[in-house]
Amino acid sequence: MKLTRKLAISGIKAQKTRSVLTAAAIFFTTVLITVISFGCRAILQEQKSNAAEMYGEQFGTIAAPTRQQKEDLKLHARFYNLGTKTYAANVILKGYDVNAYAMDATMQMLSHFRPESGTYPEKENEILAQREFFKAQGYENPGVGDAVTLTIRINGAGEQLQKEFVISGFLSSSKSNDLAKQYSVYVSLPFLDAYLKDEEARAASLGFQVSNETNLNAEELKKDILQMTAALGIKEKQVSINTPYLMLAFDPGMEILLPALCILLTILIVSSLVIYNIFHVAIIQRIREYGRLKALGADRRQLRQILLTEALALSAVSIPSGILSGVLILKAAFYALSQKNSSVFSLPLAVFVVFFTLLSVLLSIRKPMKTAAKISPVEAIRYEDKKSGRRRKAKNRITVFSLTMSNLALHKKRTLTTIFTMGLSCVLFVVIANVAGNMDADRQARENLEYGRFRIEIDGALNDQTYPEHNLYEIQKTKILGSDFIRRVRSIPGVTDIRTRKIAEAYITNPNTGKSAYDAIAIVNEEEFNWLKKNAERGVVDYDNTAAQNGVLYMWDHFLDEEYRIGDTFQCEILDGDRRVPFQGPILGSCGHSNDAVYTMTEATFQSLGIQEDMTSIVFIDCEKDAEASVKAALTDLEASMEHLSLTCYDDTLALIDLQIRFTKNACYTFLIILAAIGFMNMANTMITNIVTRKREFGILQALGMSNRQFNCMLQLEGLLFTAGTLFISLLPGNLLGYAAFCFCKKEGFIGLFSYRLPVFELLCFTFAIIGLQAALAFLLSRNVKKEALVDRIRYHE
Amino acid sequence: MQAIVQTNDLCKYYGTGENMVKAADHINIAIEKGEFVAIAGKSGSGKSTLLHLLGGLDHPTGGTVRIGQTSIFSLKEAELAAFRRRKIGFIFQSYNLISSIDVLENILLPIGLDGKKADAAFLEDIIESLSLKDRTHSMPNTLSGGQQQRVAIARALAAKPDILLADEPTGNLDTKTGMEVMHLLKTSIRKYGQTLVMITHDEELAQMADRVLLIEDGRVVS
Repeated sequence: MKLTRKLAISGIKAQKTRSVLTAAAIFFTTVLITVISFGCRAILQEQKSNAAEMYGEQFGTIAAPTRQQKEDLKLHARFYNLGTKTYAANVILKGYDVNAYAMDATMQMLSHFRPESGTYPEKENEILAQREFFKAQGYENPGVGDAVTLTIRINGAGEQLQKEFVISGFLSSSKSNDLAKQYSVYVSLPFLDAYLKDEEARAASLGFQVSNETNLNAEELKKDILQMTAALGIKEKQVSINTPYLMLAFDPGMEILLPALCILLTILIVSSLVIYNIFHVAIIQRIREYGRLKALGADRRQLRQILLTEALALSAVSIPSGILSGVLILKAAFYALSQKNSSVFSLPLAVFVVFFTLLSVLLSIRKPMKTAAKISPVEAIRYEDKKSGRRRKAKNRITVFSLTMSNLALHKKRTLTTIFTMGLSCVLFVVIANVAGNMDADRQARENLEYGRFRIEIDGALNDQTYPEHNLYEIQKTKILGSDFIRRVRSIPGVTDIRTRKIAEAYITNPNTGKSAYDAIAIVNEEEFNWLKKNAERGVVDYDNTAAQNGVLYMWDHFLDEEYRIGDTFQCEILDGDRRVPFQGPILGSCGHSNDAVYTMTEATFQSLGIQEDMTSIVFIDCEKDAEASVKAALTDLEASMEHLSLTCYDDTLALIDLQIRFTKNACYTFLIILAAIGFMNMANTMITNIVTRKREFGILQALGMSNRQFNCMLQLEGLLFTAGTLFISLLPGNLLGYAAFCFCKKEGFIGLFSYRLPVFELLCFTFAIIGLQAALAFLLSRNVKKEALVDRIRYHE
Repeated sequence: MQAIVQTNDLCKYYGTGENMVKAADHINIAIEKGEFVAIAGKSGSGKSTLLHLLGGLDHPTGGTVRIGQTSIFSLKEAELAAFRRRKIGFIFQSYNLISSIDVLENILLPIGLDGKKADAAFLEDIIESLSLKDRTHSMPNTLSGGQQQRVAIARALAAKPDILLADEPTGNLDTKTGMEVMHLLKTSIRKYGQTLVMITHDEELAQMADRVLLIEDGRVVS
């Protein structure tokens, strides 16, 4: 064996603690890189194999294409597999929102549309839907081949038809459909031909695929599709790209890979710093030995080789065992999640993990190797630990606190490196907490139901020419939500408060486009206006100003540019019973979205118009918590007994949103736990290094009369200072970056993200977890140190 | 005269059976107040073990150590720690100064750990007599061996302990500096009326003591 190798091996044996720590750091780094890279690969592969199943194979869909656009797409060299999904009818079912669609075979193929049982409707009278839909229609035990009679309105307009259908199959159940009371049912193409002959009148969306011979990645494909559709005169808003499928089916592009690379880079930096820290301490401890070796004739290369061999020898043990443990952990995790044995191992990825971990090891020992190589024999033999940082001012009184501070100040560089590495590994935790912690199901539910526990509204149409009695203004004439109704609601035991909102139906003429249409205008008081302000997007959204100028707010900002510009004149005739009241006012601002109406005006403006009809269209009801069930039952009866009313319960809305948010939150928190593990590993390594390397010093202090309590106190204090530093480093940039991530996710339309608040609960949990783990670690370490006899500690020389 | 240190059948064994090492084997000694006792013996004879047992740094396999009226091994951990910082001053061969604090803070360490304030006049006197006045704010690693040992002596004296236990205090120093340190140590204990128990294998130094205890294989032979 070469002498340098012998010396390296004996170095490993002689400095057992340091060797174990380094091996542990390399091991944990490998485990983490393995878990993250192998885990991501397994999830991606799983998603990739199921991508078509989950998201459909269409590259995108085009909403409402014109006949010309359809023809152009058919002739286009790169667009193929064009499939159509057509809106066929509205199914009338009180309290539910049900639409019937017809899909051609290509669209069924593209969207991997498969009934749970039975077949897709082929005959004119066949229908496919979820069992729960038929149950809601009153068919308790529906079966394939059963006849059902439904009330439908073809294309959502015209006369209501009673039509007998035969169930051709069932779709799988969906809890969110049940909670939202929304169903999509499917009918055949012959149905369309029978009832909706005029193709121009059909509202359809077109699914498509695009040839990708130049192997564009997902991002490039997206741009390419938008460019091609724009060239065909298709507006960008008509095109909806199936991004998840494109990302999984093709190379995702840098935009997706960048966050993953950032995470790996963070791990690389953090683990390199941890390993560097350990080696740096080891070099300082052994600097005299290196000096002696130099005095005996060892050259720089040989000294560097000793350290390199040590690091590689430790890596040779730690990396394979880290990969093995990582794979086993992943297998156990996947088994726990899916109850099946997943194959997670990949040789190329294992090579990547080895390379990546070795890179962090090599980076970390670069400086210690240089230090060791540069040592002058004379200096090294005389060497005392270099004191970094400025001496703090000495005091005439020494306490456990001042002793702790002195030590940290003396090893300023080591202390700061430690705090920095720990802080860095926790930054990502804070960033994600800022997004996940701000997902507010309650607020999202309040967007739908602003006040109280229940909302009853007029379920009316706008400009229904076949059934004009279903139109909002016609229903308002019956004073359906008038004072009698309010009295009846107020008399329900447990009801504590009632609020109402007016909605007016209006005939609006847009001077910009020259088009006229019936639409709804919500009338809000100052309090309600201020609630809407939270979603303000453009213009000056201020109640007094809007009232003073008789202004109007546009509530679907996304579509504002197609209709108006801020400052444009809004013109309409408000349908007040049999009268039409003209109104004109400026569009002063826009808001993100609203459930009530496309336009909003102030109560003050509305009052000035001299409207005679009671336009109350929404009633919000609050009740005592204990009486919620009985109030719900009474309101459900009330709703059932009256036509044109629709009831929404806050709890049902919240349950639905909660269901949607939970998945995202769970994914975020799983990731957070992995990040917390990195942070903790760092802290454990640092504290172990810190304590073990100072074993002798602690022995001396105890020999001089430091009690166990004082000793524990000193370790805890040291840990707490590390924790405080870590928290400072991670919370300050973490929250700033977290805020940026929140804004980005909000802009991208993530569910439940509204107003930013510091995720105090999550950060407190994080803070207490760090403090708790640090305290537990300090306790275990001090117990471990104390196990050794005091005299052995005083004699301790590693 | 009353014995300030007294051991009774003090034993410390390591290992078992054939591998048993008797580092202290039924030691019975009594040291009087103000006495300067040197413990001499060859390397591995058990000198350091005896000193550590006297200072309560190690626990005996059997027997007792009484300092003043206190049987030190009957004390609880916290009481023993407090007893050590108040009654015993240690001086080690390798000085064992705390590298992160300066000279003055090192000297004040036992008093600080006791949560007390130093007697300023006494402290000044010690610093003066050990010629450390110009070095009080120096860091230990900037001092020579002799200076470091003087700081260790000052630290041992600062809490006005009854007994000083010194483990080869001149072992790392050259002869001249060693003699200087010994002179200082002897002057100090006379001045402050303390008892000194010192380990040495240097006969010349042992002769400076009032009494020499010779240890062989864990037993006091003379």
